Amino acid sequence: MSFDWIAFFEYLPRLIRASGVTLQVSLLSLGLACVLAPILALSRLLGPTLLRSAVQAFIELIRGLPPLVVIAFCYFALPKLGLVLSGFWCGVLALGVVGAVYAAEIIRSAIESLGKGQLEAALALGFARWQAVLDILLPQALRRILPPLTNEFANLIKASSLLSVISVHEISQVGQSLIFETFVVIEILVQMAILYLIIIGTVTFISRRLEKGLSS
Amino acid sequence: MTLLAANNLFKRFGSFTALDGVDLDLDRGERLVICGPSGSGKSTLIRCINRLEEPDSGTITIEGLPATDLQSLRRRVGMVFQQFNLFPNLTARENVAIGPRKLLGLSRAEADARAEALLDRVQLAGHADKLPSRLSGGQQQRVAIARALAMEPVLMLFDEPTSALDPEMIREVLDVMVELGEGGMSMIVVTHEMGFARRAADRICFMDQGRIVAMAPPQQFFEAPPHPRLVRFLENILGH
Ligand SMILES: Nc1ncnc2c1ncn2[C@@H]1O[C@H](COP(=O)(O)OP(=O)(O)O)[C@@H](O)[C@H]1O
Ligand SMILES: [Mg+2]
Repeated sequence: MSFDWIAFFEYLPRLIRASGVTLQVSLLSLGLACVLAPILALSRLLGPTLLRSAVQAFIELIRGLPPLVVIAFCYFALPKLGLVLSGFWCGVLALGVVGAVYAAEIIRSAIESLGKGQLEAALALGFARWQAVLDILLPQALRRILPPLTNEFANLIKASSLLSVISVHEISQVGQSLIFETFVVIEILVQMAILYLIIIGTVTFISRRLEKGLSS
Repeated sequence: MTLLAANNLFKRFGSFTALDGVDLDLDRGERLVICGPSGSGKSTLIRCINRLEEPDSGTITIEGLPATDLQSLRRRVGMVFQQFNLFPNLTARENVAIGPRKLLGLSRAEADARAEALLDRVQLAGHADKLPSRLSGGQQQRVAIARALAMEPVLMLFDEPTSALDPEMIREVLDVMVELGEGGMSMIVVTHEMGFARRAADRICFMDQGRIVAMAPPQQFFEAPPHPRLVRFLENILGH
């Protein structure tokens, strides 16, 4: 079997365009996750009992479902509830919520792993609970949050490949249709792999730099 | 003049009774030492005073006022923990300054100045820029004392402040506490350091099974222990 360089370069532009879509979906859902996750984590830590249980139930629910089911729910069920979104925005919503839920658990467990002593020391000084969490605990937890969060974001990018099922023209969807159209398999798979690696590698690189910045 | 009045405190954890009807008064400027076997409710008692634990029943007033607002109560009551509980990501100066800055509205410069003065007072003038991990246990505990003092409390609580320390560092922490008491600070100190109790306490109380079973000035406490269980406790702890 020989590697067909001509086919490789012929289909590359289409996949590069598709990786733009992957990148957009990933960054937008990552942004959504970054906004939602602290809200979920802090309501679970600080909210009144009812809110706390509701948020916990929501987190457990989403974590218990395969992301594909969440995506399908957004695409097929939300319109019945009156919310019609394009495949692209469905993907952003579904992946954003899934990412947020995992990130919220990372934030919460990092804060809880600091131990009771830190919280009590802050409370004993006269900090209110929310103030203690924001001013004292969160800054300490940040170092423990970032590494697993980077992993989660890499997972989010990989999960964007699932959006092929709702016809979002991201890398996997475009790659698959190219393969079925052309029967050029290996070359296209290699392109897909390289593009994913570049995107995920970039995100990982940026957050490693952030980690370094934090620990110095 | 009475600073603290606790009446008939009860606290249960599940079916276990940690405080079984405790009454405790403290005058302004008074130094009280609490001792007693492990599990007798000493920590629970002082944690009820600043409401890190909520008593099941009973009343606590400080300066004649019941605690209506937890935060302002805790600002008036300083607490020093056995495990220091310094904020590990902050320098000694920042540990001391963060309370006044975030809670009392001091500017960074004012809070830092207050922190420097307090670190100086606990003999740590040269250590302001160090993180807790670069300080010895004794130094960390003195930073913790300075951190509590920075809120200008009317009462200081100490929960076995030297129990986690190597023997050679106990002295430096106790010296700071003695000086604090001599300066007029009202203090409640849970400790088994009987030398400190003899030197610095106005009264010593002995707790057992959630109750205060004996309370006396040091001289009487040691020479004529007013309770048989206290006699046994002292024999154990003084090692004869
Ligand atoms: N949060 C808690 N939950 C359950 N039991 C507790 C809790 N805090 C204290 N206790 C129990 O209450 C008893 C008294 O504890 P404590 O006040 O810490 O005693 P001391 O400080 O005199 O050693 C102990 O037996 C301890 O196990
Ligand atoms: Mg204790």
